[in-house]
Amino acid sequence: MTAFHTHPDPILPYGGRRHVHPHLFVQALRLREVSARYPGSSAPAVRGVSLEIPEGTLAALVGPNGAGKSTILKAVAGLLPVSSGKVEVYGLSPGGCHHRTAYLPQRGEIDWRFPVSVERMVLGGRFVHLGWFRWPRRSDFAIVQRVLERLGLTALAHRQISELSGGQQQRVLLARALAQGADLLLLDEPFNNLDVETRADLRTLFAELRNSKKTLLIATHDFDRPEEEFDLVIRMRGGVCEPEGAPA
Amino acid sequence: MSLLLEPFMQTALAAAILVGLACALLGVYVVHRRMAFISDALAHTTLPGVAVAYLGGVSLSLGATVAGVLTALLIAALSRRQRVREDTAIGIAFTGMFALGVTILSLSKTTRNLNDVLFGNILSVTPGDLALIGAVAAGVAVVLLLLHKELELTSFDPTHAAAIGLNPDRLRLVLLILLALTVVTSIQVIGLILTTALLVTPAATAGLITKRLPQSMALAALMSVVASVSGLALTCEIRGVPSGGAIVLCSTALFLATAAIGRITSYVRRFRRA
Repeated sequence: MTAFHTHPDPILPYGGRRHVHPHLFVQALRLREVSARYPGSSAPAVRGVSLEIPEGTLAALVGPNGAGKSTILKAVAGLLPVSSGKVEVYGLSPGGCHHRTAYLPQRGEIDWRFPVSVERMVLGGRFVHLGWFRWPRRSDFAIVQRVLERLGLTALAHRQISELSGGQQQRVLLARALAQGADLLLLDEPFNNLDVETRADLRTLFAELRNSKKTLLIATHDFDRPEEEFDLVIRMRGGVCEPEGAPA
Repeated sequence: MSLLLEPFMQTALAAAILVGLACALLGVYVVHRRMAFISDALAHTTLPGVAVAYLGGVSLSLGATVAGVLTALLIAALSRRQRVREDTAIGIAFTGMFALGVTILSLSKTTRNLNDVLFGNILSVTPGDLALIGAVAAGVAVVLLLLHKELELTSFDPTHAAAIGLNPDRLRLVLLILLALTVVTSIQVIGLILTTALLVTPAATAGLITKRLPQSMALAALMSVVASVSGLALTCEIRGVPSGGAIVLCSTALFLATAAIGRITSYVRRFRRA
C-alpha cells in the first residue's frame, strides 16, 4: 500500500474539481470496454479496450503508430472523454483522481523554447495542489528541491529548458510528475529520439520508480522484446487490444 | 524641452508611459507565444469601430474597444474549431475589417481624422482618456499578476495544463481580450499602424538580455518608458516629428543598440577565451 502524500486541498481548484481521496485496495487503473473518439472524427480511435493494472506495475502499451496508445493515455488522463465504457483510476473516474495522475506528453508537444527554468517547470507539478490565485509556498519549493535531487537534476535547476538534451527533458517531465506527488504516471513515447545509453538510464529510472510503488503506463513502439523490460505488456493494433497481452 | 513641462504635454507623457507599460508586460507573452501577427490584426480591425463611433459622435475609444473585443472573440472561436487555419482566419478578418474602416471614413470625407487614427495624435489625449488608459494598464498588470502561473504553464505546455483541469483556450482568450483593450488605448498614442511595435520591440529587447519571464517583463517595461519619454522629447524638440513615429523609432534604436552590445560582448568573451 502506498503511503499517500497528504496535500492540502486547493481553495479554488482548477476546473472546479475538488481533490477526492482514492479508494484503498483497488487496482491503480482499470478500463472496462472503453471506446473513445477524437472530436470531429466519426470513427472511434479505440474500441472496447479492457485492462487492469495493479499498483506498483511497470506496464507498456505497445503497438505501431495509430494503434490507439496515445488515445488510451489521454482518456485515462481525462484529456479525452470516453464515448462508452468506464475508466477507473484508483477506483475513481479520471476527473476525481487527476491530482494523483500525471500525464507526460510527447516531448514534441511542449514548447521548449519558452523562457522557463528547470526548477520553474518542475514547480508546475505543484500547481494542481495550489489552484487559482495561490502562490507556491516554501513547502512547494522544498518538494521541488527534493525531487530534483532524487533525479540528479540539481545542477540543472537554474538552466533554461531550451538548453536541455532529450534525455534531460524526459527527466524534467518525470521530476514534475513526482513533484505533483502522482502515483500513476502515463508516459507517451518517452524513448523517442533518445540514444541507446540514455534509453538504458531511463529504463533503470522507471524500474526504481516502480520499486517505490509508483505505477507506470508507458506507450511505446520501440521494443523488440518488451516482455523482458516490463512487468505487463498490452499490445494494441487498430484501436483494439490484442489478446495475448500477458504478464512477463 | 520646456514644452515637456506644459500641462497638456504632461497628460501626453503620462498616457505614453502607461500605454508603454501595459504593452511591455503583455508584449512578453506576445513575443514568446508568437502572437505578433494577431496583435497587429487586432489593432487594424479596430478601424471600423473608430469610424462608426466618429460618425455617430460617440467616444472613439468606445468604438475601438467594441470592435477589438469582438475581433478577439471571433478569432478565438474560429481557431478553436480549426475549420480554417488560425493565421488564415486572422488574415481575412484583419484585411476585411480594415478595408471596411477605410471605406467608411472615406465616404465621410474627413481624412484628417483618418491620419490621427493611423498615426496617433498624442496631443489629443484628454484627462478622460488618460483615466481610461490608466484603468486598462492597471487591469492588465493585475490580471497578469493573478494568472501568472496559469498563463506561463499554458504558454509552453497546454497538455499538462489541460490534464490538471485548466482550459488553455480560455486562458488564451483572456490574453486576447487584454491585448484588444491595450491596443485600443495605444491607438491614440502611436496610432494603429505602429501599435505592434510597442508590443513587440521592448519585449524582444528584454529577451536579448534575460531569459526569465518576470525579469523580461520588468526590463521590457523599463525599455518602454525610456522610449516613450525620449520619443516625446524628440517630438517637442523637432517640429513636425509625429509622436508615434518618434516613440517607435526610439524603441527600435534601443533594440538595435542592445543587439549590438550583445554581439560585441560575445566577441570580446570569445577573444579572451582564445
